[in-house]
Amino acid sequence: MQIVSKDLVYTYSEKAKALAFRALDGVTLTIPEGEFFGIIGQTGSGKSTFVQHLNGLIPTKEGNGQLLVGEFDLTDKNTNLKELRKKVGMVFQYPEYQLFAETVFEDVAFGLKNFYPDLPQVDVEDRVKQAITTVGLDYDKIKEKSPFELSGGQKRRVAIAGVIVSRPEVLVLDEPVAGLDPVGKREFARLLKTLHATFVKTVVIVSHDMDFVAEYCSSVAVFSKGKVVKVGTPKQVFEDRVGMREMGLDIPVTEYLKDALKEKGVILDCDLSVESFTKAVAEKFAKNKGETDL
Amino acid sequence: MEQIIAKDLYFTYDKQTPALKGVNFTVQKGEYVAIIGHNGSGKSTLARLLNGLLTPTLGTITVDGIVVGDKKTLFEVRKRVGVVFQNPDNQMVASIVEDEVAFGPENLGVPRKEIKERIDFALSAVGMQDFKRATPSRLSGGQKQRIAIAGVLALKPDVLVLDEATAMLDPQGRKEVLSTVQKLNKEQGVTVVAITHYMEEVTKADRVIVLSDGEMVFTGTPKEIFLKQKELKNLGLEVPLAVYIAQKLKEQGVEIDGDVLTQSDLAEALCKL
Repeated sequence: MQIVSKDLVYTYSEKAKALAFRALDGVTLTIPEGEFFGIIGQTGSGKSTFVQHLNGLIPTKEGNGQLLVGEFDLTDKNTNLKELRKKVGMVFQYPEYQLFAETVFEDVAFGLKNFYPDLPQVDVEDRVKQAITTVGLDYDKIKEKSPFELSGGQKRRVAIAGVIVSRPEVLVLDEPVAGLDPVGKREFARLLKTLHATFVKTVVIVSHDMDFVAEYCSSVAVFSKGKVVKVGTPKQVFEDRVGMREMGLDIPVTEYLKDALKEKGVILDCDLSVESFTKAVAEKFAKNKGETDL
Repeated sequence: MEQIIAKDLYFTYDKQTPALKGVNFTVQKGEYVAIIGHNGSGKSTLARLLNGLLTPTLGTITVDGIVVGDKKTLFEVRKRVGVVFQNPDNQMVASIVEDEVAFGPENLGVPRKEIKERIDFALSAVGMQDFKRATPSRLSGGQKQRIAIAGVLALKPDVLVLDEATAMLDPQGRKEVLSTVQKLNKEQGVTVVAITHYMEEVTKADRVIVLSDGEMVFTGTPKEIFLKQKELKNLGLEVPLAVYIAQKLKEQGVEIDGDVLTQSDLAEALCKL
């Protein structure tokens, strides 16, 4: 499912003029199927508002531009939102606050049962078990627990299991790594990669973590004041140092270090990953291999 | 002067698995302490104990000699200790930003004129002065978090506790809030206890406390802590990316000079090669 947004506009409190706030001011963006797509931008730049359009949580009104998610035309009032939401799973900021059921099992099964009411109980159990295992939790240990007994990190995993249990083709995540410890973050990246290699065809991720975006995303869009101001590979996007600074955004640590070396006249040929950076530096500066091996 | 004294703190939510198992520490007045630990290590529980939102199951905690967790002293404690939590949505009460920020000082009975000054101070400290008349629920996640921080700053607390308070901010916003916090700490002597996952934030602290499974496992300067890469890893924590990169480079035979904590340290070291 390709996502195509054209001149998308959204204004909060449109009717109350004093409070009206134009969060999206003509967003034009194409996210091809298969991408691990990053969205970055300052707070208030419209990132969350945009992704909430993708599964119809925020309606696209007539005259406010166009939004196509696969075969679904979101400007069309008759679009079947339930069908859309089966295919576009959404994980919000602080998903752990979305939990509500009495047991982890019920919580994870909730969306699935809603989407597929005729699914036999055996299959529901199968799918829930698989989803809980995929997010790295022990199904037998956790299924009967109350979600509120769990730690923050576990709650987040349960919330995500509740989204992926329906096997969406597009997975949208708004700030999924905020508040996760470094190991949690890496595990989470691994989980997303696994999902992306199986039924999730496209991942759309909103993040402030530039190192995360640099390392994992295939493409990045930069939002600023309700518009998309740049799209490209992480390398292309982070190359624009001045633009990034003007928008209040950081560059990945590896890029920062490359800049420092460039000023000294050392040009490194590497991409944004830590691995490729250290390799390039080692090639230039490491003492003769034979020596270090001694 | 010792401002916060925690003695043998135990806390249990469900009477089975304790979230804190005998934690002892002190925080000096004017100190900037960072608390790190993996998810579920007891960090947030500790934050809630610091201003009496939770009462220790066993042990005591005092702020300026006042026992925290006693109903009679609660007001005195909360005048001194301001906490900013992780999720701003859970702490907004008013429908206009200005009222939201004024809520705390109003409760303390601060005179009207001074409240106005405090609102201006607090909002400009977090870069939200243009949003005085805005509706919190209509702001973005990061903007709301800044308002939540402003609401606590307006109380002019002696001790500022930040529980992952910058988690939702963009990098620039985080830098701004951090420099505000540092300024309050350095210039006005506000004691800061910052619970965080951002290792770059930890490098700014005077001292770091590492929690694991409800116990305090290390305490020391950021430099001392980050030299213990192996131990940190075993605890489910990582060193800042710059320290990690420096380590990787050393392993590959690149001679990195001096102690690297931040990306600018590393840049400096690389430029000497």
